[in-house]
Amino acid sequence: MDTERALQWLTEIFAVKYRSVTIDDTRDSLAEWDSLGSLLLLSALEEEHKIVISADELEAMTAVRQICDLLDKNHAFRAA
Amino acid sequence: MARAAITGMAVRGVVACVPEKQIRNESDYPWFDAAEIRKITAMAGIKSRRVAGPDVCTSDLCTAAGQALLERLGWDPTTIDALILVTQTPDYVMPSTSCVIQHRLGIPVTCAAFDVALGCSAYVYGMWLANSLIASGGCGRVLLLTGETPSKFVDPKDRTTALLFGDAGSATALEAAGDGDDTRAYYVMMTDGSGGGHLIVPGGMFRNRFPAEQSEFRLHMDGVQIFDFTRTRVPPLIEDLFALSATSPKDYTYFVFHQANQYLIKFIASKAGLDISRVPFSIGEFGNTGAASVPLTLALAGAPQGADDDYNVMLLGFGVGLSWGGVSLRIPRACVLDHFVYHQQQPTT
Repeated sequence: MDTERALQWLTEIFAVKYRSVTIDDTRDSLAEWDSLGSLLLLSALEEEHKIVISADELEAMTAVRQICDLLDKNHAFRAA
Repeated sequence: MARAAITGMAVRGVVACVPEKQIRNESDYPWFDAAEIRKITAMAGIKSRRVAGPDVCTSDLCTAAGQALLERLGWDPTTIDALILVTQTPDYVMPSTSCVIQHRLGIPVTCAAFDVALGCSAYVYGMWLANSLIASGGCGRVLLLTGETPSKFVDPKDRTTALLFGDAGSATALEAAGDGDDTRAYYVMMTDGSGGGHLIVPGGMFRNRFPAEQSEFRLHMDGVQIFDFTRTRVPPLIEDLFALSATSPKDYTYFVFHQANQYLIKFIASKAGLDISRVPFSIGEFGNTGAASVPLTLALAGAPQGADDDYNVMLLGFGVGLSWGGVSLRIPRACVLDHFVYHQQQPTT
């Protein structure tokens, strides 16, 4: 997977200002990953990547690395 | 299981109103930056909303809608046998707001009036109750009112809810059908109280009468759980209604959804095989108007062009409770569908 593209996508989804999302970010380090951020992520996963996960599955994710693993598992942002 | 086919009720009119003050999310909202607002509004599909002034309550909007509807139909208020108000934002803890409205509409004391506390599923539940009252033979005419002023309990600084909700009121005239009316209506209603905490105003009533934190008086929403609930529960509801009524998508002129989220409605419509041109929206201009969203959307859609016959609609409500339900019914071609902007006359008590 092209991790850089995935992180750029997450930066846009969470509408993060002044910096980019990094692979080491977590819910605690990323203020925009709040309830609304989770909702935006849930809808974007489904709309843009056809990845459907439940609210509980999303709730169990606490790190950006886990989102990237999910994207990779579903063949999103495949490296050219 | 709350599934029913009930006959004997005709829908004579639906009128909805919204307050005059309009808020445009992208230009009138000071709390969030432009990129953030664009992200939220694009996902929910909400460009603007109408917000009631401090002196305007649910009763004002619903009374105005009721008056307009009775005038349009030429119904004498003395002919109303029951008045049902479904709302989550009553004027008072007590008395019931329906009693206030009964008096203001000049409906006689022989009328039964009561409130039902439901929000997103309000219209379907109200319709089911009215239909049941009429089918029982106890009521000839029922006035169903649904309305809400959610702007009064939303925290303007809460990113999850601040840009979503608008205020509105509605009135629907229902009566015992004549011989010529095709009136079979099909209802499915469901409840899952385990999710009650996902959309809640925790303070202000008797569980937590005087909370120390002002935020307890505000709406708390777990958007992810509500989103998940909606996409999980609503498609099977539509399938249930098709099966119960022995119909298919092509039999319907409109599928009117509770206006919670435009993206989600389109997703569900696609999943259920519905023609999106038959799915009207009001959310873009008026936001999520809670209990009033289904009748407001139906009133805005209006009668189909060139309608020379009665037509089928499916009405779908889902949300706070968690409560959800749907009805498949036939609308007479002469049914009044109208909407207007409410202008405050004077403060009421």
